[in-house]
Amino acid sequence: MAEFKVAIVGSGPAGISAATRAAKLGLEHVLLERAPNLNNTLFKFQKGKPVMATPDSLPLRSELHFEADVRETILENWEETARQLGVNYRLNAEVLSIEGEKGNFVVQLADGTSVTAETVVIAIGLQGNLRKMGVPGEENGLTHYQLDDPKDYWDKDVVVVGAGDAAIENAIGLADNENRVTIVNRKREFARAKPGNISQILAAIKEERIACAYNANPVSVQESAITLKDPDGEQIVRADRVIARLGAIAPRKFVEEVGGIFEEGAQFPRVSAEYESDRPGLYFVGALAGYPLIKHCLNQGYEVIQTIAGDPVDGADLDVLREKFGLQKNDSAIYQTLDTVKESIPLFGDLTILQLREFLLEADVHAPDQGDHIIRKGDAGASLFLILRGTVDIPISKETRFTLSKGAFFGEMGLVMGRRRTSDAIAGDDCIVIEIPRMAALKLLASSEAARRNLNDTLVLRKFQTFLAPTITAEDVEEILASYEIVKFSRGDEIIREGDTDADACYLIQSGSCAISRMVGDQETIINYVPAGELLGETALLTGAPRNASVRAAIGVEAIKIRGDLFRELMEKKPALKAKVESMAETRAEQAKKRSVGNSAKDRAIEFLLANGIGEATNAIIIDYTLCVNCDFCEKACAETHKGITRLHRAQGPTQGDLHIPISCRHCEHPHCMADCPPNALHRTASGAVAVDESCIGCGNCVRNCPYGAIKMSAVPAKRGNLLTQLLFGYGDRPGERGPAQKSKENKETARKCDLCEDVHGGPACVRACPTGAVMRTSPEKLFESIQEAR
Amino acid sequence: MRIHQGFLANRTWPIIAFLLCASAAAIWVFYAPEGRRDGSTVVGYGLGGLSALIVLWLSWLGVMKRRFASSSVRRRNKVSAHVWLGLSLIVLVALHSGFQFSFNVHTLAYVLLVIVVLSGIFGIYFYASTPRAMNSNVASAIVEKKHPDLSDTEQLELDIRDIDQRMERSLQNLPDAFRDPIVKSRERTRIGGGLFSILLGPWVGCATRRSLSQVQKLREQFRDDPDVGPRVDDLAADLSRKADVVRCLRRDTRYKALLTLWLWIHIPITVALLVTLISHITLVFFYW
Repeated sequence: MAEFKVAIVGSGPAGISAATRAAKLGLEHVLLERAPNLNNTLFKFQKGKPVMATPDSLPLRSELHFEADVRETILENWEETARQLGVNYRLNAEVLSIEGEKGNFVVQLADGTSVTAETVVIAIGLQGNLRKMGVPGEENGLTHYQLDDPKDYWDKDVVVVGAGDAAIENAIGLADNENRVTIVNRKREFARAKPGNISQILAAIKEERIACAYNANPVSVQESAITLKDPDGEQIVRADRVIARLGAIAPRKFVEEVGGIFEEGAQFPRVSAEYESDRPGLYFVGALAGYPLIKHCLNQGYEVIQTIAGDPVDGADLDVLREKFGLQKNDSAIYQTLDTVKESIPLFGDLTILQLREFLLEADVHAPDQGDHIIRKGDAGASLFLILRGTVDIPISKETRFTLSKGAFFGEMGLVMGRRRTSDAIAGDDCIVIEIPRMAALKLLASSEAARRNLNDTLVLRKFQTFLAPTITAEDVEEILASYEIVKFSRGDEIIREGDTDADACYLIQSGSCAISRMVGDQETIINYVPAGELLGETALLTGAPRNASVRAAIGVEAIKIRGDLFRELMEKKPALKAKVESMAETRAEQAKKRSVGNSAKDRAIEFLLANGIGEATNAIIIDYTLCVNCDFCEKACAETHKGITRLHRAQGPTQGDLHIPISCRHCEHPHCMADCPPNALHRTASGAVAVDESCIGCGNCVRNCPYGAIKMSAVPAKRGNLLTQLLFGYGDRPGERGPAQKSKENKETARKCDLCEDVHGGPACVRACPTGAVMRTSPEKLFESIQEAR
Repeated sequence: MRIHQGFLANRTWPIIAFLLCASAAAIWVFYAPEGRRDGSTVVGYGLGGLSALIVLWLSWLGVMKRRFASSSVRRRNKVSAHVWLGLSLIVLVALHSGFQFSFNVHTLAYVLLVIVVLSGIFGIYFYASTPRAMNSNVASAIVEKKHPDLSDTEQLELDIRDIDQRMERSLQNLPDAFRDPIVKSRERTRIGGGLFSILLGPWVGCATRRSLSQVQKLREQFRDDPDVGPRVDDLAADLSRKADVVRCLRRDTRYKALLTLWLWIHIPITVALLVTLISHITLVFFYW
């Protein structure tokens, strides 16, 4: 007979929640902790660290009290609760192995003793197994993987690697203690962290308290410096200390030894909906089950004990999901539904049911009638759609239409490339689709290798089918799908060099945009601008001739590199593809010939526009200074159409020659402002504008995030003065002028930005109001086209 | 290289205006059933009525262009129509009158119309010629933008303030002889002012330039002073930069004035024209 009903391994949030629940229920239990103190995860948090209680929508279910507070208070509270409830714990008790089976497990400890228990709950989390940078010089002592107390450093150069919550908190703590801090973010935005942390780090970067290297990766660590590679090349950053906070991974070896099974490609062991592993009686909860948030851990600790005690409860999130899928409260069919979702949709294949539940919390489920448009061509939108049941028709052209069925996804062009919907999607019979909003979809791609791979494969295949030759099947491009690679280029990087004779690849531009140039005399002349979604470099593969133009990244570019020999083979097999490539090559060659004329004014103009980020715009405002009489009618018209607040600042902004880019939103393909909007108030409207809606809370994140200063915070100003009341009673402001805003609870400062005059007939008021035609709003494709065509 | 379409690039309205004038002239020449060609014939009434309507519509532009939310037509096209229809009035109204000019209120109306159109032609000229010079003038004077939210002119004004403050501070380490030029530059440098100082601003005397030559003369005295010498050089450099910036801003003020000055004739005379037009119409019906 076992000593205990349950042995709980690890006293982090999940473990201690489980132990307190067990104590409350009067179950015989033991809590085993490797460290010399309880709650080592939180204990190791930076001193004074504020702990947040996300996700807000999830109800808490635990004996432990938990709300956003600082580390110390929470630790104290929890220890107090554990003491009051009489939790039976053993410190310094590292578990080596678990033998036996359900009903009689023998847990071997490092000190040679053992405990026996009917069931075992593994709640060791991930923090015991931190991820390394994996670069040369990492072990030279400069790099630490943890920061106990930022006060240990003063007046030092510290480089913090990582963009998660831990990295951000460390960086801010260190900067507050008068250190010179550089934070290294591999991505172009801080998407993984909690909103509160994101706004703090962005504020610190804006105020230059912390330097930030975006899109940067560590390359090597020297004695007192670290080398980073970012879009502008390599740079060496001085460092008295490197702190790498790259998260943690599941301790695979231990988990497998105790009987956990990792599905192929999965980061976490497989568990049932009750958190039971493949070894009966053994449970994995908390971060190890794929749930890194404290609230989840607390809930799961509670739930697993309920299961063991024979009184199982549902996950706290399930009721929300039931509602989404149209099920009744307490309907157990939700488990089946979740299984179906996971099985039907390969993109989710990598997720555990628990992670799936987390994603679905943010998703919408639609059941459109047959023939309904789910998305419309030309609409702006960045959500991803997954087909759970039925079919969806994608008409590419009059002759060609694709029918997507269960498990397929669509809408990925908007998500990945930031471009408008390229085609309609029409619901078939009995169809159910899941819509995942942009942020959640990006998170899914960031966290699941399989999802990423699946998406890229589909992108390549669809590119071939929709753009090149519809008859191509997945089998035809099997080898290409198995061999392509994703390559990243920084702004200005050369992707293809003119004159190269050994052309061995072509590129599918996945995000960003490129400038195509040729040498005319000794002057590099830009002949074309190519947005995401295009295939580049296939001409040389066709003819075998040297590359006839150079391709450079206009902004950061992510491209899919396809092997040249395989592409050539495919062209041989598919005459339709060859014909298409031939005709494309012909038009391009003609265009190139026409435009290969040295014209320094045009070159300067294009360079200026690219340098000022027009390459990532979808709709930019450009003023011609040979026409602008500085009447500011554009600004006035903007103000008049937007409650007296102008979203355009004509006189500000860069100028080169006769072109001027005033400060106003250019509606980026991948809007920087959207990166972390807590209420998700920023969205792309159907017409393509990036707009702020009523739910804006005025946090100012978007203002800090916008690299072009296009968003300003303001409250609605007073009404315009009336001539008669002013004249007769001297009341109100001067006629036609507005007094300053009266700020109040109802009229607070919120984000104001250009919305392309969505609700006004006739398009942007600034363009319409200009008496001389100096203002133009246009997409970069059209802009560069008209520069090329200009005389 | 031009990628925008300016208000003069519109091809529709010049053609309409030309066709209007040509057909009016043809009718006037070939259709005179009463043997007369003046305002009291059918053709005369027709042309007069049409011209009066055009005048009213053209004057309405001043109101229309400020109604930002009301119309979806681009201001650019309206301005183009305004320009070409306005020019065609000279012909239409002359035909309407049958070239019967004398010293009366009717001819006064025509004279006022000609003044309005001529001032408008000046307006077109300045609108077409000034913007490039005006905008490149300030843009080229910028050395460094301190903050992206500053416009070019704001940045230049800030530069002047900075220089003034620096010169004020430098006084502490300079002999008293320098007080006079520094104070003069600060207190007597004016940008803008009356009509003539605006229009002639860039070329008339500048207090800062005078201060600069004063300082340059004083510099000779302190050439060999190792302490004061370099400071005077800095002061001279500051004054010289300030003089350049001031001239640039004066040019800017002048350009802005050129762009609005014609309106000071165009608008009041238009109002006078409307009044005269009403009397002309009233009078012809009662007293002709």
